[in-house]
Amino acid sequence: MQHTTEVDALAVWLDEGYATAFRTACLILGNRSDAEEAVQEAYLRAWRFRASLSSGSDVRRWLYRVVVNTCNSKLRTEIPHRDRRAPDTELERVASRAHGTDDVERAVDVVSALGDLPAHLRVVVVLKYYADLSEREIATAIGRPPGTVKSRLHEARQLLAAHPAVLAGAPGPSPTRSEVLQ
Amino acid sequence: MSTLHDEALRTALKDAAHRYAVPPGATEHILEAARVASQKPRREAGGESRHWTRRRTTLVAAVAIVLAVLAGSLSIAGLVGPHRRAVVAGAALTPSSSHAPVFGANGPLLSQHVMSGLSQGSQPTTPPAPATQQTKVVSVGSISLSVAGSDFNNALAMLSAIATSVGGYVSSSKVTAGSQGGAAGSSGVIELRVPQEQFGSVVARTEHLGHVVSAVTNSTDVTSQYVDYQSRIGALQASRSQYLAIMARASSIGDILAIQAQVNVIESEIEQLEGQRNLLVNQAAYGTLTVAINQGAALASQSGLRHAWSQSISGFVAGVEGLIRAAGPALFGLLCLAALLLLGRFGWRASQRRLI
Repeated sequence: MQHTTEVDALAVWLDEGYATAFRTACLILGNRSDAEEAVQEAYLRAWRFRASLSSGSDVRRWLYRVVVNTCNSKLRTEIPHRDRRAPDTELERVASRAHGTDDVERAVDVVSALGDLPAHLRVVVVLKYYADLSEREIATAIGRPPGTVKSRLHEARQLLAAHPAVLAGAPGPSPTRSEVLQ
Repeated sequence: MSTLHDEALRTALKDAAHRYAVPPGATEHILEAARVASQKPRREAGGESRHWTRRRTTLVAAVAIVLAVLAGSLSIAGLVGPHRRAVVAGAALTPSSSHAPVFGANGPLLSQHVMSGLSQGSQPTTPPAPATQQTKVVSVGSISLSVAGSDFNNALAMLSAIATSVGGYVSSSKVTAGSQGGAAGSSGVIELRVPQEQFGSVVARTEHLGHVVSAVTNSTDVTSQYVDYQSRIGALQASRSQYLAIMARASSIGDILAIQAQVNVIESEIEQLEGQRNLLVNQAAYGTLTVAINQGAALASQSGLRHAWSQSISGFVAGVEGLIRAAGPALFGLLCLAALLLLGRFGWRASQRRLI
C-alpha cells in the first residue's frame, strides 16, 4: 500500500513536468530517443533518492538538477561515441506534418544552432529560455555559482547572435507558445 | 547587434522545443518501472551497486598502485643500500666492458671486504673464502688520477697506506717532479700489489683520492690454467716415482745412468711447471694495480684538442649516467602522479555524484 502512494507521488511529478523536462532534454541532447532515455532515467533516479529531498525544498529545481546531470552524463559518456550532428528525422517528420516549411526549417536551424554551442552553454540557454528557470535556479541545477550562470548566458547569447537561424526567429506571434506555457 | 533579445531567443527555443512531440505512454512506462523497482528494491538497486562496484574498483586500483609504488621504492632502496659501494665501483670502471660481469659477480663480496677492510684499519686481513682458493683470478688494473697540487704528496702516502692496510705492498713507484718548477706538474706512477680479495675495495678507495681520469681493470680467470699445471705436475711426479722404482730394481750401471738421465729431465720439467704455477698463484693471490697520479696542472698541460676531446667524452658519459640516474626517480614520480590523478578523479566523480 505504501508503495502505491509513493508511486502516486511520482505520477504527480510526471504530470507536472514531464513534457517540459523531456523537451529540455531534447534541446540539450539534440536527439529525441536520447532525451526520452535520459528523462526516464532522471525521474527514476530522483524518485529512488526522494528520501534525500528535504521536505521544504523545491521539487522542480531538484528534478531539473537530476535531468541536467543525466543529460551531462549522456553527453560525456554515450553520445561522444556517436555522430551527434546526424539529422533528427523525427523532428522533421513531426514538424512537417503540422506546420509550414519555413517554420520547420527554422526549428531545425535553431536546434542545429544550439547543437553548435558547447554543452555547458547549451544547458544554461535551454534552462533559461525554454524551461524558464531563474538564474539562481539554473545555478542550483548545474551546481555552479550564479555568477558563472550569468557569464555563460552572456557568452551563449553572443554566439547565438551570430547564428542567422536564431535571428530569423524575431519576436512575433508563436502559434505554440500558449500550449507550451500551460 | 552583438546580443539577442531575450524574448526572441525564448520564442525561438520554445518553438523549436514544441516540435518535439512528447512520446505517448512514456510517463506510464516510468511509473511501471518505478512500481517494479519498489516491489523489488534490492534487484533494482543493482544499478547503484554497479556504480558502487565500479567506484570501489577504481579506489582499490588506486590504493593498489600507491602501495605497489611504495613497496617497490622501499625494496629498491633496501636492495641498493648495502651494495651501493660495489655498484659505484662497478659503474666507475665501465670503460672496460670485458671485466664488467666479473665485477658484477663479485660485487657483494667486494663490498663486504670494503667494510671489513675499513673496520679493521691497518690490520692485515686473512684471506678466507675457500671459493677464491678454488677459483684463480688474476686482476690487473690501471687508474689515472688527477689531484690538486697540495694533495699530490698526500695521495702518494695514502696509496701506500691503502696497500699496507689490506695486507699488500707497493711493488714499484716512480715520481717525477714537475718541469714547470715547484711541485706543479708533478706526476707519479705507483704499482700496488694487493690481495686478490681486496682488489675491488682498493680500486674503490683509490678512486676517492682524486679525480679519476681513466680507470681500466681486467680480471682473468686462470683456474683452468692452474688446474692444467697441477695435473701435469702430478703426472710427471707419478712417472718420476715409477722411474725411481725401476731404478731401484736396476742391476747394471748403464741402466741406472739411463734412468737417472730420464729422471733428471722429468724433474727439470716439474720444476719449470712448478715455477709457472707458483707465479700464477702469486699473480692470483695479489692483484696488480697501477696508479698514475698527475697534478691538476699536468692535466691542463695536455694539448687543447686532446683536453677538449677527453672533456667532451667525460661530459657525455656523465650526461648518460645522469639520465639513467634521473630515470628512476622520474618513473617513480610519474607513477605517484598517475595514482594521485586516479584518486583525484575518483574523488571528483564521487563528489559530483553526491550532488545529485
